[in-house]
Amino acid sequence: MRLKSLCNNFMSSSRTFALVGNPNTGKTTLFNALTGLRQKVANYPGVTVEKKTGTGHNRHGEEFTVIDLPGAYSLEAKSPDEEVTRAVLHGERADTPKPDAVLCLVDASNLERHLYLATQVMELDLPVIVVVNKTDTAEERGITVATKKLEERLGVPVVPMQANERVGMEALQVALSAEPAKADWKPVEGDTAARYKAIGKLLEGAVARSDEERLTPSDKWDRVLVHPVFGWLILLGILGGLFFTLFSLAGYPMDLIDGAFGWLGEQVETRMADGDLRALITEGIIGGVGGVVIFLPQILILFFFIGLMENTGYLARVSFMMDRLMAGVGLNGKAFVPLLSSYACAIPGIMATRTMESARDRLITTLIAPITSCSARLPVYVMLIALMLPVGTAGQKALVMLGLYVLSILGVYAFAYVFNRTLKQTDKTLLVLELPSYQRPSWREVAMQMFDRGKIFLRRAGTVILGLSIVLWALTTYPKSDSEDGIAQLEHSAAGQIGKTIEPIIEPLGYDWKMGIGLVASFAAREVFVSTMSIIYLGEEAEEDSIRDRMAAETRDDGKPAYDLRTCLSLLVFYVFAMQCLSTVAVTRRETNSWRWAILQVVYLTGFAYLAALATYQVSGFFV
Amino acid sequence: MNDWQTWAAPAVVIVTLAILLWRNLRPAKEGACGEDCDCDKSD
Repeated sequence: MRLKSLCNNFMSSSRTFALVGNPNTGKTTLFNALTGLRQKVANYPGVTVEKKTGTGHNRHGEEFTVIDLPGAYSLEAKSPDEEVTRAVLHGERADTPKPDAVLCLVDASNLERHLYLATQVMELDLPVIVVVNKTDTAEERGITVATKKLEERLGVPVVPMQANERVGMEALQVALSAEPAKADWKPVEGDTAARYKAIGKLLEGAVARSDEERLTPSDKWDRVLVHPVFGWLILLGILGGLFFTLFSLAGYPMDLIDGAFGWLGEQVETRMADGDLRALITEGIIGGVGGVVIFLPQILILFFFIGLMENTGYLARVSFMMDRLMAGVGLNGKAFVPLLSSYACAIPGIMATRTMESARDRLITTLIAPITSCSARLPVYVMLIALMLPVGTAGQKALVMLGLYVLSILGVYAFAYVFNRTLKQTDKTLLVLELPSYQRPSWREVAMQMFDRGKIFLRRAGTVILGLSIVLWALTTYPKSDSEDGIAQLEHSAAGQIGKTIEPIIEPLGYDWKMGIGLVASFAAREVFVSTMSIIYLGEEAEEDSIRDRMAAETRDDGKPAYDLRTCLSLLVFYVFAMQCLSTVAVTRRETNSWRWAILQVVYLTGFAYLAALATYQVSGFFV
Repeated sequence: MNDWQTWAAPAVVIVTLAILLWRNLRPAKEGACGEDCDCDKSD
């Protein structure tokens, strides 16, 4: 406690800067450039708004703290995000110190609009440093900003920057090292028009625009990349390339990880006498956790591509294209950010619905978010596709994966349409999406994002998946039978009993009781299906084959392969729609403040998954 | 078969089960959402 209090005292003696700006101004890029890996991410208590703080050093070697505040268009708060920004700047939040100074980030190509927020901040009686970012894009558009002139008029540092290229960092460091000053800016009396008038006066003679309408390289790219036809073809091509890489490149590191876990298991087997604890370690812990960790390369590749698309500005274009479709099913365009986040994980996705103003749209987005193909599905998809196409090329496998993603998008739209027609219409809000200019990716940021996601994946494997693997091993081991036969023991076990009990319900879908164990277990978390299969098939035989080989060799009573094309397709469709994530159920309950919606989500998604998987298995029987 | 392993394995399972239940049933930390989203990590 004393150490913590000493640390707090020390922290409070260093200067705290709040980073403020409109969304898409490059705030996160500047925050990363200033703080590097010295970052801490938490939530503001009471609201699901992310709180990012980090530390850096000025030119004198003195430490400073940066608080990256949520993007806002003004200090007249409309969403929970904007309310946090307003409250922190006013020093109204007990959990966050009032900043000593504010770094106001504005976009050089849209100064007038961005200064709306910046001038409001200047009126708060706080020292300010103005950072004019994206000067390169402004110049491409024929806009030149005389930052020196603005500096003279405002009496505070005005630093031109290209944060993504780290151009201007030196000048910013000089400003951060000096004593911060308050801006020479008179508070604006009156409405929005009066503020824009005052901003216009400030910018008089400080911003020069070329008379000719210039098409920037970004505008030229957009003609193709957001084209109603070519745009979609290019997007499908990019996603196809992503999944192709996923199957063709990830194989080598996956073999290495598989080998490492296999070696670990052998070491335990040679050093420990035969017994329950040894079986728990080799089959439960090493088998269960290893079965999931093996998919780390694919998770990293997925987030490398997502980071690249986000960093270059392409992801904002994808949102723009999707928005056209969203309007078709009556959903607010603001649903995009939450739905896009849900492709990583539905939990932050559902939490991001807080940025939406309409309660009805928030509810619809929350209800459909779990249909997006989150990264936890990836291990299940990869395993089942490999079983389904044992001799398929990487291209064929990528095509199936692409099909699953398309199916999930169709599911999102279909259910958005249904809920839009079912739930009572209240209000309508519009999406204002600012498309950032295309830029060369910052490899450092892409790598940081990959590192973060990889860390979360491994953390989950080392905690939740480890715990569930141990419990699942126990369920497949106890109660013990007198038989030495692995299958007889599994049948006798608690898990076997559960699988046998639900077998009549899942049989029409093409599943046997062992798959039933996997289905039931993965209601806690989807990827547990993979670890369950590892535990079941590792425990069964003592041969040296891989799990995939053993599953491929698994037969039904009639001697036909258990994991044939129809069953794999049916399982894949089930996993596209089924609500198998307890954490998401808990978040839905909290965000909607009702068990009713959480239960509805589980029932409608799992019910639909069952029907869709049933239809897939039965209909495919006519063709296969 | 090792006798000590026969009781050690269920003991590990019981401890794990207790940890899992405690993790899921305890009240959420202040400042965290309490879910498995990595925002409740300590610095």
